[in-house]
Amino acid sequence: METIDKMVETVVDHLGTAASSGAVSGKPIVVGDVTLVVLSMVSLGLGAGGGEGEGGTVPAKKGKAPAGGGGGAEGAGGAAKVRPAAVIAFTAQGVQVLPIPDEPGTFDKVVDKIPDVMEVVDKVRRTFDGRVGEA
Amino acid sequence: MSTPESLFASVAPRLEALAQSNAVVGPVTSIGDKHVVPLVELSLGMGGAGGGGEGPNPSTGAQGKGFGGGAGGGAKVTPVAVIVVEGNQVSLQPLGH
Repeated sequence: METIDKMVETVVDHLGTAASSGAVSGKPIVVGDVTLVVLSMVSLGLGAGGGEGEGGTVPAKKGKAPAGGGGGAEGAGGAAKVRPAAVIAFTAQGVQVLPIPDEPGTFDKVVDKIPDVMEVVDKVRRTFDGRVGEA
Repeated sequence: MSTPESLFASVAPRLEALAQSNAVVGPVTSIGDKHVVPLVELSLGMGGAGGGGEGPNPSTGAQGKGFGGGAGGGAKVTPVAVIVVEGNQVSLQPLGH
């Protein structure tokens, strides 16, 4: 069986690179005398995992060979979000920036936090590895 | 199975393209020199899993096998704000949840 440490390392290595968020600007939109540019936040998180196991063998019965049991499973999941964050308006009077207030739900908060959480987990793992090295 | 890294590499640019193509901007409604532009938020979630196992029947000792899989997904489009353009005046009306 893989050690817990190795498992954590594998999960962190996979998830660490599989989460990000960034801002993207859309194409300018002309509405009447005004030109609008929408800035969006793009968030993405993906994860996957798998495992397998084996059971003990069943002793041979009358006329039957000994038999063992085993099983495996894999799973993957992801979430993505594109959210308008602000609008830049170009008018004859000048340029206006209109931020869109954020009222995130619980799920949105979790998705937004994934990159931060991964950083912390990675930091903890590095600290832990360092201690093991010293001992 | 594709790794999260390869999935990520294929999904991330598509999401950015979605944002660049103004997928979050709804159709403009114009009445005279007043224009209203809705802005929406797009959320997607998906997951899948599969597993299999084999083992002997405790009473007969015969080997058996089984496999199973499942997948699911969801999508949501939520309006978050409208932009109101009146001549040269631009204002934003956030939509509370």
